[in-house]
Amino acid sequence: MRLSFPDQASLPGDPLPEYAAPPVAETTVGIQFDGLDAYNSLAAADFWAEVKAQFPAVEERQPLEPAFETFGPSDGANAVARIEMVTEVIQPRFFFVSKDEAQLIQLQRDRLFYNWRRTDAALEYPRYSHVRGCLSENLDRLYRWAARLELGEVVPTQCEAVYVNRIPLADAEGNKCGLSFIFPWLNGLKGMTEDGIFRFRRRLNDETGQPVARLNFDLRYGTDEEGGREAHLMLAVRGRPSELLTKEACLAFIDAEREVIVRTFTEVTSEDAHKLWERTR
Amino acid sequence: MNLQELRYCDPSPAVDWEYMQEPQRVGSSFALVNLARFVPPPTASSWRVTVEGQFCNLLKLERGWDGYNSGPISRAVAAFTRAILKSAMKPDTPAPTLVPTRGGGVQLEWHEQGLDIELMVYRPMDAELTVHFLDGRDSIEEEPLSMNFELLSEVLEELI
Repeated sequence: MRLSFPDQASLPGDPLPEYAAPPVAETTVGIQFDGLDAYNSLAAADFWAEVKAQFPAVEERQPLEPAFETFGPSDGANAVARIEMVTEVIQPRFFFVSKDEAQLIQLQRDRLFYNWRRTDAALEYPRYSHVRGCLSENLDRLYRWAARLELGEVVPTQCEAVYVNRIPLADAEGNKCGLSFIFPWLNGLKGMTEDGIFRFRRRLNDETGQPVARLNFDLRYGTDEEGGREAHLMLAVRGRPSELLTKEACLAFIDAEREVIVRTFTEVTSEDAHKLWERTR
Repeated sequence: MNLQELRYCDPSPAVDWEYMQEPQRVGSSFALVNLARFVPPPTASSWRVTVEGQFCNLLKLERGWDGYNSGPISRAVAAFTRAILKSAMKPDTPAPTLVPTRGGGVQLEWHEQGLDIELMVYRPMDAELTVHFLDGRDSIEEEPLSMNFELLSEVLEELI
């Protein structure tokens, strides 16, 4: 499975960049799905019982709204606020959190995600292969659990990969630097801006040229309470394989999404920054 | 702007980029506070207002609304339908009529200017388009659509 921008720069087979010390603060991979019509909070508790040894803490959160990537000529339309009155029970989103708080599983009626996040106890990014393995294991668990409790059939509708990077605006010596030291394409602004946000979206096509996913790019920067300057770069890709919707197809799709994220990260950051993050390939 | 941002707050992964004043953070444990925020300007798009009014009524339906134990349309179907319309509609495209169907789906209908357009949304990522042209052109019959709604948009263009 390969995703590409309509005006793709890299070619199939180009080696994926690698970093020994990437600035990843959090990564999330998972699926949105349909079909668990009999889901309820007691069923979620049953899921937790299976993972409780590794994820002993539980948190309840507001559920995330269903969200789908679709394609047509009018995708740039602005949002509108809305009020919904619904008769169905709104089920919470559960966080099942590991002891060191570095890993969590998110479960709600229509989503399962695995997160790794940097904490004081887990400073080193465990690499995508680990994150993927954890997602795969929990997807297997999701299918088994849904079948055992007769909740309905898991039908994946969207696959998603998200990387959040925290990037101190400092050079190798720790001296403050401008945004353009990290993001050279922002060069040209005279003087220091206090803070800002830069966002864009791009379509991604599959091998047949059909749009199947979208990259969301979100760069924010500002100053922290101690006066340190930092940027947060979030790269998120969401979409769906156009045909097979098996667990393996979803994982392959997420692999492709992650590849887009890594390549985009490399393309939008400078070679000086790559040295800071110890790029090895 | 007095900036005191870059503090940790609660993690709330997974994003909803549509119909949000601000994006929910996907997988982010932190948030920038007191930061310049993107607030989309108010839209005067009339079809959105009309469609949201219809969704309000459909989402309130009680189970058995049709006498056959059917439930209301699901929030996932509503979200998918909104995404379709966002992709396919232009600001001056006429609003569709939304009709609930058995099984939690919704049918979108436009009957005007010599066209009968019906988009049946069964489940998220599962829709079918049927179009009858009263001028004798070949009909589009139950064309499956899941992500790409260019065809629907082309047809709707004729209503503007």
